[in-house]
Amino acid sequence: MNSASQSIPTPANVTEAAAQLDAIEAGRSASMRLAGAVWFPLLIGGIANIAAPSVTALIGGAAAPAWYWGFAGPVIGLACAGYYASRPVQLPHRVSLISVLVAIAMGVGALVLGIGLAESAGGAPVLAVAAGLGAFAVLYRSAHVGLVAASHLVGALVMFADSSDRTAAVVFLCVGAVSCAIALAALLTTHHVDEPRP
Amino acid sequence: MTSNHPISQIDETVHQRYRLGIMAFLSGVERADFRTARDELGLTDGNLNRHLVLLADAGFVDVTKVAPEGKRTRTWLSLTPAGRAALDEHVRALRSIIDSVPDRT
Repeated sequence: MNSASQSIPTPANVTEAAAQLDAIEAGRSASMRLAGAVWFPLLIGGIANIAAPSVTALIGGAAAPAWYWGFAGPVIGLACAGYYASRPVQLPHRVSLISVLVAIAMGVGALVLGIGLAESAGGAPVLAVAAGLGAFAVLYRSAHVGLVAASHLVGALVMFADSSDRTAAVVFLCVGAVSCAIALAALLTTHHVDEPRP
Repeated sequence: MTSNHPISQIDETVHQRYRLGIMAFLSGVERADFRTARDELGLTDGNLNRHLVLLADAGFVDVTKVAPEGKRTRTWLSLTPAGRAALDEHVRALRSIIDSVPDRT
């Protein structure tokens, strides 16, 4: 036995037992944080939001947002799946499965609401995305995702109040910028393990 | 010390602080890369390997080497069901020790 293990006290007292419980919880949380790093999904989601007004204007027509998000949503989902699958610390299967189900519900919900309520309630699809992001914030225990969910909620409320195309464009740009800024904050403040090591 | 005391439920394989750290780290995830676990736990290759051998022999940790074609070998570590049960049991024993003291204030 080395000197480190020889110096280990047995948990014969409450203080030692409490310290060990804290250490177990800290170790568990550290690995979950590494596995569930959120900067990448927030960044590509933000970029997709920022690009939305320009691309939908280029496509043109009332169905342009549905076409854009019908393409961008699955691309974002696949990119996130690839990102998490390549991480050196991987989420429990249960969390991965729930994530896929939430992502599908969020995407389908936003698309259906976007097509069905585009005229009467333009903020409905954004509200669906806010709800999905809220679920992700709880699942990943992430304040960063919670903030982005809140920004989507505010955006949805603004779009409910004014459903003009101009307002929608401003909302997408603002929500996208907020997502990118929070993604950067998540990248800088969370220890990450993406760098190749020698 | 009597066999009824919660201390008797402590498994020495799990209790050692580095092995406990390894098991706690792996308990939050499906699997972790050897290098990441080594760096996060602040261990050397040799030290982590030595503890992994003990944990694998006890059936608590699974060590799998994967060598994709054209890429470097990656070693994945994961907690086995027996390892999760042992860690849960250890947590229960620690809580029993804390609860065995009626009033700590």
